[in-house]
Amino acid sequence: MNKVLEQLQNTIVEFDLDNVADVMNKTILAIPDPLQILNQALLPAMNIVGQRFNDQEYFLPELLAAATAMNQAMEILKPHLQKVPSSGPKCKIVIGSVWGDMHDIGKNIVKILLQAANVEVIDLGKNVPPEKFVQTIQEHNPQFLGLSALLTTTMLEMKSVIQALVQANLRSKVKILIGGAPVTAEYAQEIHADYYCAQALDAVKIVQDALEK
Amino acid sequence: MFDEILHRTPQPDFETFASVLTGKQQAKKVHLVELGIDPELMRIIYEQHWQKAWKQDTQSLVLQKIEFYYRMGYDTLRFANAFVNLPQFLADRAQDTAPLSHGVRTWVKEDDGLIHNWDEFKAIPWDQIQVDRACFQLYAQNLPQGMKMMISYPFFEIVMQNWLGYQGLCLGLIQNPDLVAAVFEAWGNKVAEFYQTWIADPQVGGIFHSDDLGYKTATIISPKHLRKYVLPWFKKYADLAHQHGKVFFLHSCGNLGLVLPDLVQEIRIDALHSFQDQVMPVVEFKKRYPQVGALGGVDMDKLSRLAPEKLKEYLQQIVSECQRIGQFALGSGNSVTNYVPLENYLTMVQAAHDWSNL
Ligand code: B12
Repeated sequence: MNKVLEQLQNTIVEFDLDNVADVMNKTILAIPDPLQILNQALLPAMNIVGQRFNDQEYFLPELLAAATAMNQAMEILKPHLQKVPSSGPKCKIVIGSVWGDMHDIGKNIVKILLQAANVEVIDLGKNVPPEKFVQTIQEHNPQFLGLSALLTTTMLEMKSVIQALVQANLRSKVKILIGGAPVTAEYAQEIHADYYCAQALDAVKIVQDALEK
Repeated sequence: MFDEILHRTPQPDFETFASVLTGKQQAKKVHLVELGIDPELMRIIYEQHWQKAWKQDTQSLVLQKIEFYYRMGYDTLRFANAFVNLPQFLADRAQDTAPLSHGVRTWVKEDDGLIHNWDEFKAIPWDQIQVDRACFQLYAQNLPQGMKMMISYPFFEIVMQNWLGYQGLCLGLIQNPDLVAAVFEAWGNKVAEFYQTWIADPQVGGIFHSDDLGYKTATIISPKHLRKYVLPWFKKYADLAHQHGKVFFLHSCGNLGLVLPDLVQEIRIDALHSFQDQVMPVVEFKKRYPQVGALGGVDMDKLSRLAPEKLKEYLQQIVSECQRIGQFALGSGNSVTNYVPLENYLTMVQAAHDWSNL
């Protein structure tokens, strides 16, 4: 691997927040192709971070620190990327914590890891009513929908979202992923969601598998 | 239905309860335990089954809670009114979707806390946050014979959720560890002060420390960080209880995987509370740690959603396995929330009763 890209990758993986801007600026001077920087250093860096999080080598602090480093690097790279037409994400997901639910750390981690896998994430935030999901899916036509909940009482709202999609004739247009503390594989089956995700990284695997098909 | 358990003559006996959980005595019945029960649920029983008026003033709420725990057959209840003059912590609110709705549900605001820097840390009037003596007296004066309080207040959770915020703690651990250490130190001492104030009181049975360390698949911060900033305080609190010949119970939700051995071997918890089947079913815990007490154990999602007949089968399996191994008390995996159907709650209490009378 190119030394400069390797250094950038390590800066993200080791969340060296003091130096990330410097290293990024140096990388841009050394490597003229912003797509190469994105695909060969930044995205792989966050993949490593996601894997370490999954393997309990990294925990929430390390993951958030690495995501902060990644964001700083992306801010610098963005103007350069905008000049390259084919650099955009290949797939879209709408994501949110369901109505009544104000817990969103889990959902935010899913977002971080999906963005790192070059997926466009439309984040509706927390306490999202079913109509808002329907409207956003109509507008943006994503391939995936991700729903999150912390408690059984709010998890039941996932069913309302799916019912609203059926009513709007949109159900077959999106694959639905659900996750959060109370959610089980049985519940996913019961409400006809497509995937149950025990962990954030499951979403990345599902999306990548679907893209490969 | 449920007449037997709703209208019995209770004989609370904390000493036996504690002896059973610590393995000093074999259980003669299935003991019950809860960390908390939502008032909406207590109120229905109070009004509809006991035909008593439910009052909303602070003092009545305490007295009604004590009466509820007593009449339902508990040996202990949690006392968590620790401090006066706490600052207003940040909160989020949303409509409560539960059947016995609170109207609005209050959530911890997850993206922010009160302390972002040293100036804000120094501006907190730490000295003014004092142990709430009046409330303790209200409990103490009204506790029925045989029942004892378990004193309880979070340490890690308050630092993470209220003082620093999740984000603040997480990034702080990496970028500003001295500030994080100072907040842990300040709050660790406050919680210690609360425990020290009451531990010797004869109506206190022990400490039921309440601190969620994990989530679905891991601990929230790394075992390394937990061992540095958090577990030494747990050790202090546990030692304090043990020095007074009292029990140290720990309520901690989520996957404790990597630090569970620390909790058992170093901190010497007498019993663990909070179980989720997806994380570690109580039966599995009992098999792994037969010498540590298990409190509660009924998965919240199942308690909330299973039909009573199915719930009965599930309870049967938990009670038979856990009673056989010993050092067990039955209850919810977390708390009896306002989305647990009343019939399911009563089915759980009935299961303990039926088993005890076999
Ligand atoms: C921290 C916590 C709290 C905090 C903060 C909540 C808040 N903001 O108000 C406090 C202490 C305040 C709290 C309170 C309560 N809690 Co609580 N809490 C937890 C705990 C320990 C961790 C949650 C957390 O921070 N997770 C961290 C994030 C990173 O994890 P996550 O959200 O699960 O997300 C991960 C995966 O699930 C996945 N994921 C999540 N969403 C999605 C979506 C998609 C699309 C995908 C792909 C993946 C995915 O990705 C993430 C990373 O892998 C859990 C235990 C647990 N097992 O999770 C209990 C838990 C959620 N709490 C529980 C309960 C019962 C309560 C209370 C009702 C207790 C009470 N009586 O007061 C209250 C209710 C809160 C309220 N607002 O009214 C129960 C819920 C049980 C149930 N089935 O309903 C749990 C499961 C504990 C238990 N023992 O059963 N809680």
